[in-house]
Amino acid sequence: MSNQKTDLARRKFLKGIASVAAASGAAASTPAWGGSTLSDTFADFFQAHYQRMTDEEIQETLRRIERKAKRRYGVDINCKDTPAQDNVVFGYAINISKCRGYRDCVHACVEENNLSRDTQYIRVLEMTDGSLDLLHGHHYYASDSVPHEGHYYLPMQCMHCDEPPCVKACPVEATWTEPDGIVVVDYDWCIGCRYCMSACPYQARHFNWGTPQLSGEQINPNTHYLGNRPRPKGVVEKCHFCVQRTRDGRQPACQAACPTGARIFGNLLDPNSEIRYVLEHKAVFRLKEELGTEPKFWYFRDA
Amino acid sequence: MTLLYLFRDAIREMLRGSWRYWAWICLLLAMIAVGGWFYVQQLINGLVVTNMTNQVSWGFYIANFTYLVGIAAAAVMVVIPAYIFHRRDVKDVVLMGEILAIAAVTMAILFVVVDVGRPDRLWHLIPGIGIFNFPESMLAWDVLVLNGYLLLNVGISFYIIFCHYRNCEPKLSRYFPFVIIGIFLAIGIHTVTAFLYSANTGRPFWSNPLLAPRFIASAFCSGPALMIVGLQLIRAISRYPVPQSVIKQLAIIMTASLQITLFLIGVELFSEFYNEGKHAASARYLYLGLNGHNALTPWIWTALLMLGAATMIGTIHPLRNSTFFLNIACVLTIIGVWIEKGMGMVVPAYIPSPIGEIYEYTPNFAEIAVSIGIWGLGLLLVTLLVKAALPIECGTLRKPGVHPKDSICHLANMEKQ
Amino acid sequence: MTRVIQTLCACALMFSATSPVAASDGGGITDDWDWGAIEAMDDTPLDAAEARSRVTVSPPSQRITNEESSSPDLEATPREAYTLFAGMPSFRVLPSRKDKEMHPCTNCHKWVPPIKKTRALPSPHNNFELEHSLHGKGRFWCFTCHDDQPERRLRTLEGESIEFDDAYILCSQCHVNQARDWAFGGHGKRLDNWQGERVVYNCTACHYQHAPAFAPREAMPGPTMRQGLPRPAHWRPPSPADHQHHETLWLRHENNNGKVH
Repeated sequence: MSNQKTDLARRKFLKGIASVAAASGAAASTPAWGGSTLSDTFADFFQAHYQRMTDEEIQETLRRIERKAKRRYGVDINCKDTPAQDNVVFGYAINISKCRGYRDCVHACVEENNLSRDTQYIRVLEMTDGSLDLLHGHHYYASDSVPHEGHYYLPMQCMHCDEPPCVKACPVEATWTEPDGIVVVDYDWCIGCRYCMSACPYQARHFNWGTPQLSGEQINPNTHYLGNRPRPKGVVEKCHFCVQRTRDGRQPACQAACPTGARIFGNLLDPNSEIRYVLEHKAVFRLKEELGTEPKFWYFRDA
Repeated sequence: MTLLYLFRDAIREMLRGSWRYWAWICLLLAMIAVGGWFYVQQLINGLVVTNMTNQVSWGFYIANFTYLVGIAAAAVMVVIPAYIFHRRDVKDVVLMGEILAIAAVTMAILFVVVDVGRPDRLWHLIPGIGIFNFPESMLAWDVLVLNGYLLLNVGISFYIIFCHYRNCEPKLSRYFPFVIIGIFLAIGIHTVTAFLYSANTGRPFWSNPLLAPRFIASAFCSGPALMIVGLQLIRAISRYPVPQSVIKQLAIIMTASLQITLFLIGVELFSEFYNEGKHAASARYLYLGLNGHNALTPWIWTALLMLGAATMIGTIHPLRNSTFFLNIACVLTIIGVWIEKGMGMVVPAYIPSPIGEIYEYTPNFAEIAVSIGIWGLGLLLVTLLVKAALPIECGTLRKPGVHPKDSICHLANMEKQ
Repeated sequence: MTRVIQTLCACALMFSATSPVAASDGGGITDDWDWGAIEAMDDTPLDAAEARSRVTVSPPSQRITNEESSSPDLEATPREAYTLFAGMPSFRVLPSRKDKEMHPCTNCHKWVPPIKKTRALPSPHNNFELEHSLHGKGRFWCFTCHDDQPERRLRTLEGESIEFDDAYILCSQCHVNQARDWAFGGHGKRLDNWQGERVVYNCTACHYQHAPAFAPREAMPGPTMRQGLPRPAHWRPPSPADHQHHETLWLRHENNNGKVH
């Protein structure tokens, strides 16, 4: 990484450009550019990578995001950047004896995370009993009376790998692993090359092909910069373990929505957590383990 | 100062020509305009205007990109005989090869730019003010080597032209190191592009060690094929002395590469299908169809037939030496490799998706239009550069104050065997 | 409304009253009870199957007193869990909703002594069928779990009276594996936090005690196509035909009459 001097020089350069732009006009605060003010648009363009911004710059960015959401959706949102807690690494386990394919998790996630209505982070696969062949899972199984005879269900989402191929693939480091194990995306840094989507073995990453299909009434105003804040088009996004909830100690929306209690989430570093109990006492497995991705997402059956 | 004269004279050359020349330019401009209009739509609405989805996230644009990197890499096929084996006859056409490489790399870079979701953020790649994830990301490597190769080719060609313009011989000692770097970079750009794909262990269709050798082999088919056709065109239109021995040399290289390519494809088919496991699902989709989905099978078999026919023509000496059959083989190779390395390599890796979803991708009109626009731009670049370089190479265009030589391009009846 | 029901209950029970029962003591399920037949209120003996067929089946999601019956009572104060297993972490349990009209039992049964003869119960106790898996079909009946004492709570197999809110103790008597998992966190569900104090749902919050198995229900809608892209012409919804390419192994042998090898 660059040293202090280059850092400072670059930041000054960017700030210089941004402030020139901002200074150039009382017109700066006049809405233009499709609804955004001039100064906001410039600041947007020159925004630095999340990990390089100072606290002050991050706060400015958060306020700018809130302003943009107000302009675009007419909603007052709260965008925060709660940091990772110490001594926390998140893990997830799904009890496939209990999952019955309701897809309640899928839709809870869509609502909680301000997803474009044509995107779902969670994909529930209907698998034939006796087989773990992902290539023959059904994605579009019928919604009538589930569970279907002779099948079991495998919900899949971002596995938050410890050796994530997507993080390696990104040419601009727009995606990285946070200290609490969550693999996050800086939506304002991503250039939309979609190389990470090719690299992911779990089909967990999604691209905003167009402007997200989202309306003001549907927006969840409690947002996080690395999580469910409204995203622009042309960037990649994915499950982020509901960072706006989990960093405050709450369960992710999918876990909260599951009516059968099939989802177990918690801190892998806490020996008394439910997730540790499951991993230590149940026959757990992970998908595509042979690829060496070390996912933090397990599956297990009762007994 | 001389530089300015060079630019002035070059631009003057580009704006001068017969009606046929202008008709060609107009056609290219029309292609670029169509592509440009559709690209503007894409900029406004996002990549929804294409047929790509979360399942097939790279499509026609990246297919063309892959093909063009191969073309660019093959410029080295004239550089090596010229500079390493000191073939005088080939040395005269090195410049043309490099112009082709420049255009191909430019097109490749443009295909990536139109494919990216946020082109306004491409500055994020610049090391220093952005973040350049080198050496971890294969895409970062690709950006580096492609731009390096482009700069190198521009530099070397420009140096040669500039020297000739001033009526002096380029000093080999000055640019030979760059030629050597260029040779390594030529292999490098296509190997790194292959690594871009084979690095993805989650996609078994790509994740095999043979991908990089296959890329190089097929690049050395299509590149020389394009050069054979292009050089014959230049020779016919401008009488630039392209020795027939060069054409023969390129034809032999093309034939050998075709044989190797077919062998490598055969090897891959064996590995996939002898003990067919789930890793072969994409190969099955491509060659045989999967669960009734077989949009690409006619394409790949056509491509293989084309390559097979071209190989046969090339292998049979009398046919290879006949201009007519050689050109047929070249056209078959150009199209065959385009199918096999473009849509036939990039797209099947996404079908089925890593968790089993099948979405059959075919490019829609918007993508084809933008691609046509970029090809038009590349052809325009080649046309303009060759148009400007030819008089200098022929000897008729020199800097002010220097008496131009007799044109070597008016020497009719070049040895045609 | 309550008064009417109370009166009806009193009348009904007086009709079906037989001998006053002795105070219930400890002892097993089989004490005092006549397992031979379940008698209806009109004194015609029924066998278990017929008794079953006489009552209306009402899946948990359509219980008549939907609002009041057992689902988590999010307003209630969680209660500290009893230590069921060694090494169990301490946590609190959220009580389930209780049928307002039927709870407490003394709403109707204040003055009426319990009758321990196994029988099908009349309205309003016939709004469900006891489908407690292998234990239904006449083998379990109300007083297996319900207490017949004046306080009318639940009772363990050992005859101890427990609160409705501690129903998990009852379930864990037989469903030990699930109970252990529930206590340690591998079964059931924890309320909205992974950090801090642990509050979990009671067994009856998810498993309606009288028919604990989850009935099939409709799933929510499946994945959507990307915006701007109509379903491609070649797309078709999954059909049984798709399964044909992937027979389970034994089906492959069966379908090929042993000619696989």
